[in-house]
Amino acid sequence: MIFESKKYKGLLFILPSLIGFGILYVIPFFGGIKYSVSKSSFNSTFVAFNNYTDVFKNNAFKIALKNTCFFMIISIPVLIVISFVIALMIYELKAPKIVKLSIMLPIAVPSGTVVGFFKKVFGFNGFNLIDSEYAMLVVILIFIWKNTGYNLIIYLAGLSQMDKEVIEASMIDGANYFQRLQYIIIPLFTPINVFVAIVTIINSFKIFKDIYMLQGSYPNPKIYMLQHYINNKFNDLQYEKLTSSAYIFSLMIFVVVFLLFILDKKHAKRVGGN
Amino acid sequence: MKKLLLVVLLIISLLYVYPIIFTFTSSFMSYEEIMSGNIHIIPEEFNLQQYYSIITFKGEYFHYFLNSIKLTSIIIFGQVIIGIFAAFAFAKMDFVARNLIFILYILAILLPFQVTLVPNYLVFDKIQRLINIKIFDTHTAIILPGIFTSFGVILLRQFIRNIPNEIIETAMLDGASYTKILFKIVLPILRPAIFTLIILTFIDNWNLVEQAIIFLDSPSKLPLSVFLENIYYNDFKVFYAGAVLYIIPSLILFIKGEKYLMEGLNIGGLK
Repeated sequence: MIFESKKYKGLLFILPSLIGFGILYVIPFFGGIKYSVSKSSFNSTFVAFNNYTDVFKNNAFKIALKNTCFFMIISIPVLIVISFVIALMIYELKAPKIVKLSIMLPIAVPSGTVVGFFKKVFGFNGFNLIDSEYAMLVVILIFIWKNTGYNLIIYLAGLSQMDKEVIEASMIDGANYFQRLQYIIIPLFTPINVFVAIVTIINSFKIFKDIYMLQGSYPNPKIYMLQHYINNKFNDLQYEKLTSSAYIFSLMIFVVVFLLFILDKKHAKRVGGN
Repeated sequence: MKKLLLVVLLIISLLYVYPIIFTFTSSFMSYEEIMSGNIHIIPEEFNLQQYYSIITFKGEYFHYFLNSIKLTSIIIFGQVIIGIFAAFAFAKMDFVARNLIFILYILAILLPFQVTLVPNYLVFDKIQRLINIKIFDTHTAIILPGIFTSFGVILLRQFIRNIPNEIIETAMLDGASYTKILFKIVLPILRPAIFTLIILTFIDNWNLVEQAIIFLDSPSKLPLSVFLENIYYNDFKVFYAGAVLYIIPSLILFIKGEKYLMEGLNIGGLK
């Protein structure tokens, strides 16, 4: 970028990272495609998309897909709204630092250490949510509890950089708080919202840790996720099923993130056009 | 109105710390009180029985604790060193297919761990046979992918990009090499970002679950993050003390470094 003549030097700097990343991530990702179109782990006969269609006929996969989609569709927007509202409250009320810190603290708590609490509160006899058909509710609560802090950090950083003059001008114009929120703050926050959404999606996969620590490899079917399905296919040595379902999962994520990027680009254009 | 909202906010923050407080206070309960099963947060009497038992009788607890320390510290060390060089190259140097490679790095953090699981496994299998070292069921199987995740590179790159090119160009005119610029100019500016990376990588690997349950077969090699499950089922009366001892390093690091996170995670930015 800066000095064209020293091109090889850049490669030298990137090489250690690139070798490891290539061997451990890129090659595996593309190498897995071969398995997803093979008859089985031990028979590489080409079967085209049979594994993909088979996977969609499989009950365990259907349940896992349904649960994962349900979890993501509910918990991601809810978490984003909750963290944005809390961030606004902290910012506008100039809340004491302990408030912010308390909400952020769960980030640092390993999943295994709080199973004692969650099992006791949501799993005791007579009011056993974890083993009931509403188990997903517990999972969503744990997710929100654990991840509000991340989004809060990003939102508070954004709020502290907000142009105060725009806000003051709107106050002189007589806009009330909700008008200001609707017409100024929220549009201004589109790029941050996109970033927060992506971070939240990435963090949403980690819910597997919490479900695993609560209920192991074969949890209540209501909270059986794609990650469980993939792990269990690994233990059954069904690599062809594993890779095809993993690619379906990746494709879903890529599509959502791609749409978010388009939203971001559109916003940038609109702002630039004004 | 403001007062009321502030009270609401305080209650919300109390809800967030409640599970942590519950775990802490439960660790000071006696065996009988823990096993009695009713939910209460304040111990009937302050009791160190659980801690005493872990420290004197359960040496194995520290074995798993050390596994966690080993895995986490090696991964942090590797990721920071390799990440600094790669991030600098992505941000300020030119090389073949730079943007394309960077897109691959970004796509990789979007993938759940399970997606590259089997192929990863097969690559390990090949390496094992090729150079005759054991990878499965060793910590290497966890450390290697941990070091080479693209997260650190992306985080540090965003930061280095904000350093004005003029500073680097001036240093170049003075005859400084890239390596010298990296160590003398970039690294000092990069401190908050590096602390952010250390904190986030620590938290992530201190809570390591997926990799361990797939790649480790011998229970003795598990990190404490997974072994806590075993304590919960087999040794519940000391579970809370075990949990608290495991939370503490993570909490201290987080509270100490929280101000860096505010700076370091602010990559979205209002433009």
